[in-house]
Amino acid sequence: MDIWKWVLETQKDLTHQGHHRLVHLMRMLPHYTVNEEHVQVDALVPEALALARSIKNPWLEVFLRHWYLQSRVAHRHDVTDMLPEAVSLLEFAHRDETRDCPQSICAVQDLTNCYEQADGPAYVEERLAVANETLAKIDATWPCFLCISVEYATALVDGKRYEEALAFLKQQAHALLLANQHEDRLNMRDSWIEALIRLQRYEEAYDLHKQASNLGRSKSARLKKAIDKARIMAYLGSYEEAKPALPDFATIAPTPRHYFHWAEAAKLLAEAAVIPNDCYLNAKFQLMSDKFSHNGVVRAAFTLVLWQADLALKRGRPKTATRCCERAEALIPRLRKPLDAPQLLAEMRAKITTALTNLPTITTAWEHPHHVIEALGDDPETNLDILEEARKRWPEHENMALFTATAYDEIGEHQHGIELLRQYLESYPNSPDVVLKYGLLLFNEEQHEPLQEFVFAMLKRDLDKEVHLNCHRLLTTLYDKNGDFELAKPHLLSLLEQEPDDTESRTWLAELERKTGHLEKALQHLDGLVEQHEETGNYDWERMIVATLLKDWDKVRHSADRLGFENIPTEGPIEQNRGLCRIQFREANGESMTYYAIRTGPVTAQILEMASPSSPQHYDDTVVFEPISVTELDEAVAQDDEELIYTSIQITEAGGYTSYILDGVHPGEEALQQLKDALAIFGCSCQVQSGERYQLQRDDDSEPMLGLYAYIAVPETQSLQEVADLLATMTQDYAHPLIWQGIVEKLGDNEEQERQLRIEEEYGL
Amino acid sequence: MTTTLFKTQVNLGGLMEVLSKNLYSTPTVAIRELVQNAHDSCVRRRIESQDDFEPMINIITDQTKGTLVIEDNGAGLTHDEIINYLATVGSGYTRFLRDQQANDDEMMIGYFGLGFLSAYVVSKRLEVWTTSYQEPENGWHFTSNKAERYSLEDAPPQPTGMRVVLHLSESFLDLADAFVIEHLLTRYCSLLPVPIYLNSHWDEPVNHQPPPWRLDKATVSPIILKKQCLEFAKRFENSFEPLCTIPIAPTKDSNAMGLLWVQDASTYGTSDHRNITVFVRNMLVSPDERHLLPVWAGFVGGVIESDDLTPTASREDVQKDGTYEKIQSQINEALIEGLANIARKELSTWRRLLKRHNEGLLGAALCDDRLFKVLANDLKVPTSEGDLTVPAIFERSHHHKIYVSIGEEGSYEEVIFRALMTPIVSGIRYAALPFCQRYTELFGGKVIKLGTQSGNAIVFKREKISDADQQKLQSLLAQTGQKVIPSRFQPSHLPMVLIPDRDYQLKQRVEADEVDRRIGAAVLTLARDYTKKLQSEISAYFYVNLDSPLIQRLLSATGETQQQIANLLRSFTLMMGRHHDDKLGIDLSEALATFSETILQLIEDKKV
Repeated sequence: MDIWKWVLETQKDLTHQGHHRLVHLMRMLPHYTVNEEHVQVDALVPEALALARSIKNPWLEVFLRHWYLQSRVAHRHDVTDMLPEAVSLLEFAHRDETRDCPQSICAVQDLTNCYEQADGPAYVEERLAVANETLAKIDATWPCFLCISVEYATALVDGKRYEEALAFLKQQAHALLLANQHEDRLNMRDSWIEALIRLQRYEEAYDLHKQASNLGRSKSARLKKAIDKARIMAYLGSYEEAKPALPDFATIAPTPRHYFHWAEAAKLLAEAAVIPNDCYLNAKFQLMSDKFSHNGVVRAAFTLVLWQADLALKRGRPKTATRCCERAEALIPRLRKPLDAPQLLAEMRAKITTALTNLPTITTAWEHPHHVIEALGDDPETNLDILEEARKRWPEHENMALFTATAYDEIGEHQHGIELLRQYLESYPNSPDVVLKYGLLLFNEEQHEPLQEFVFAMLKRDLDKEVHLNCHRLLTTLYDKNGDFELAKPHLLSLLEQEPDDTESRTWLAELERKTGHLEKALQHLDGLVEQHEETGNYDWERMIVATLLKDWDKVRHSADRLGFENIPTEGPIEQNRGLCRIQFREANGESMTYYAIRTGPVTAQILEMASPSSPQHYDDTVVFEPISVTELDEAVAQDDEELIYTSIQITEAGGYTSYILDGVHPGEEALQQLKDALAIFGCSCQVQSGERYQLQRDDDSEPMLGLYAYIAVPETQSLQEVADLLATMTQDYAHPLIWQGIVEKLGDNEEQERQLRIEEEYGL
Repeated sequence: MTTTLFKTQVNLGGLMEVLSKNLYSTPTVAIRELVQNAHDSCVRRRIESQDDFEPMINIITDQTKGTLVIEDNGAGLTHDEIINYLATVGSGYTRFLRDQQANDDEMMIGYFGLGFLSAYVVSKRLEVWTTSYQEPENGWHFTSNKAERYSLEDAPPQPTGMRVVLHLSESFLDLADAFVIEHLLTRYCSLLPVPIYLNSHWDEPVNHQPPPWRLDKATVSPIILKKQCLEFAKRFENSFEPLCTIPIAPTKDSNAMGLLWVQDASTYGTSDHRNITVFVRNMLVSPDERHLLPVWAGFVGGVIESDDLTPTASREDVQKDGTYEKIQSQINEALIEGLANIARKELSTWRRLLKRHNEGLLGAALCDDRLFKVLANDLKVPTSEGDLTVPAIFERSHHHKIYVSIGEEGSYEEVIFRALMTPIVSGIRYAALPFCQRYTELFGGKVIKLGTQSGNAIVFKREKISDADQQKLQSLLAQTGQKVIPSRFQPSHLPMVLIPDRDYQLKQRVEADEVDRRIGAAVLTLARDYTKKLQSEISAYFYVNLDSPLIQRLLSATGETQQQIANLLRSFTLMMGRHHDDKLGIDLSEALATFSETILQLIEDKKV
């Protein structure tokens, strides 16, 4: 059965049933996958699956899960995480309710794919058996005939049975010819080209590449073809054509599917000195092999590491090559079968041994460690040679260890750098800088559990004070990042016990105290900081915020004075008019709204602008705000002639108003002013929102009239009926009526509501 | 008057028709091509002649006659030029001239002969009157019914220039409608510098409004500019109103200029309404070059012009070359920067934009960290407590935690958090989980995936109890293969929860004998290669809440009471969990029976 025919029919049926969203996701999933848009794949798969399950369509579930595996395994080579899912899908796709789904065969392919990625050569026989089993069930008219044939041929290539692979592909092409699908043979290009390259029949490989050049327009296919062109051209010695064909590393970096052949092409070009064989290329190889290793793509990781070693040797860096061999050795037990891996490793080691004996000796006539540091240059690999040599002499030197770790980091060997520091600390645990660096490296690599274990172990040991202080710093950083503020606080306190003058820690603690609602404690710390420092700092601003919240005006005054605020009243609460500003509120649902306000003090403001009845009301609220304006952070905006925007931290006094809409034909400025004055008697305010563009027209063909659209803020304590009565009285003689539907609705006055509705319709309000 | 009958220089009958019909995707392209020829004629006259003239193009529609006339006061053609350029497909003087010229201001656009071909697609008969600036005393009249044959006769001299009359064929009579033509001209020709008048009684050229990026910013007020940008965008956006616009300025890598806009229509997640109209040498080449926009920008439209792009043969598309890629990245950058600017400067627009495109922006933010940082605090994710931004979730869930449900609704963990009024992000909704994860990576906080091992470890905090108590709980509550895990969690009135082990379930399913009948032997070997490595011997875990008064009572009780509490707890937990699975030792009907029997017993006891 034709899978795509089924897909199209399913999409038609689903559209008919109104499941448009699901149809859309069904279309987008393969599209994003073949275009290497895997972020989008991750974003949509959970929703698509939930929708498929909600309509109880198991065939569709097979389709979606298969394509997710295509993205995760075939493109991203994520074997470790996805093998359980591949096994689970295989079982799911062969239940009674799914076994007839044409996509079930793809579930077989997904599982085989996992093993092909993990260790293709070690699973050759199993893969051939699986492919045979499937090929026995289908013929050349099935679209999966091509996929399974490619799988069979790839297994043969992995088993180094290249001629057999070519013969098989020819046989399959013949079957396609008989089935009148001869053009489709080019879809088997990948394994075909691979077999030809391995047989060093590069000209034929290039011919085939050209024949199939129009095949596949997806980003993935385009990258694959470009990389193939680069490596075939490189094998043919046409380096000048090969080089521009090879995509930038940044283009392929997000998709491991392209790593292996990219590395092969890059290696050929580097060996021919067409691209530089340097430590930066080393870093790229390291990144790729680390990713493979992490993802459980073990055989490819092994091969890449050996290529990396080979390149290192060729640029005269046998020590880098030695480290590659160590990593390769660690990969061998993870292979399903070693096959030729130990032999390849041994050969590489032999080459390294020769290279090491021929390595020029490094001058080690340094009298002092700082001579070593001075001798360092721009090339991290050269620096490493020097540093490693020097460390033999000064193994305890803390800075030397740090420099070495940094150099490893620069050539892409992050783990080696971390490991070096770990080993260093085993011998010299009293090294606070290394403790901090090591901890931060773990933190950045998101290795949070090892970080905690390390820090707690260090804290239990009798070590220098500085070491313990850095341990507390690391834990504070970790807990703060994870939002565990209560856990962070004791470590800052420990730090401050030892170092009461540590400004950074005290500021940090004050901030955490504020975040956790302990304002008095926060203020104590901030007082201490202000007392400690003659010069002003962020702590003065923080102190003004906390002191304002606590209404401790003298402390606000004190810091304001230090910061150079002028005209602050000398006693009592600070309630001034310091000009206009805008205050941004983050409402309960997280939306942010901005309103005009009067700045009443260094960190306080009173809101002037009414919100619409549909938004939370802040009119007349008094707030404490974050004194760094949102706009100050951006110079481009600061040039604009607009009031600064500050974020509200807390409403200290709610205005207590509710707003309602007043709508209708503008009664004229004089009448409006009278209405405003009358409303003011009840403590209400009125703010006009409309301008000249608000023109109204009655349903007849009369002239347009200027409209009025205003908000009325009514104190929550004011009787609404009184306000309604006032509005009715004041507006009764107007030439055209005004309406205040919100008020009427709230009062439940049905008759009045109907009257106002009629006015609304008549004037098209 | 002499009339001569000629044959076109392509001696392949029928090819014309095939070529003309297949070269262009839509017949309306004919209008573009003919206006372009007229424009090039004007430019040619300016280059070659010393004449002082004001170039202009007139388009005249006549619905009653079914004709469309395109006339210009450009260079005109001589007798030989008509034969060489007008009647020879693929050849064009313009091309020759364009290769010669260096001056950008005098830009030639087309491929004369090829463009002329398009006229045959929409007409049953074609007439051209022309007088060349080189021989102002001569006039020529060219007529052709089909592209293969034409007649050429001398005619009284006209003012210098050319007048092309299309006698439209039945199917294209719409092209004689002034409104249709106006619509086409404002799109196809709006960048052309030569004024184009439609039916002479219309007093201003249809292309009188230059594109916003060509306006002198120093002389136009920002408000007027903003208005013009929106009007321009409206002309090119087919389906939606533009909500706001973003300029594309040239960079060091690309000279492209243009305008992007955000569509004012709600989109959902992966909706893709991208469109970019591309102008090359002042002429619209492609109305839908959507791939110039990043894949995440499903809610953005735009117009760009770049003379570095290479049109394809039909000039309805551009080649996807290095220039194309540079412009792609230029547009990506302009869009990100533009959105960031709106976020900072145009607060109400920004709010509308967020409201319209929240889901689309969730996906977009994931594609670019700079964009993520602009959007991080403003986008909402769907939660059990309504749509909330991450800061709002942090506030409600305390301590910067984001709980995400990734399975079906109604799981145990979800029930717990609903009871605690803590928002749970619906991880099955588009982009919700990856967005939360990226947020915490960049700004701190923690995502806890409910129903996963790591999530359970955080929600159900394990606690060590004495071996005797552990033993007691195990024997009272668990069956063979199940394991009790003492822990503490909120709310304390929930005594325990049951969580099946997924590895165990998978192992059972794959290793069952009956599977051999369903799955091929070879592939099953591979599947079992995996499951045999799974060590799972525990079918399900009971997380027992030590904070629960019921559990405390269970531990202190003895004899029959203890057994009764245990029976009730077990059946209650199984019922709440709604799992029914023989292989896990969970029998729901048995649980119900035990529950009711124990309740009866307790009632009886009380009576006693």
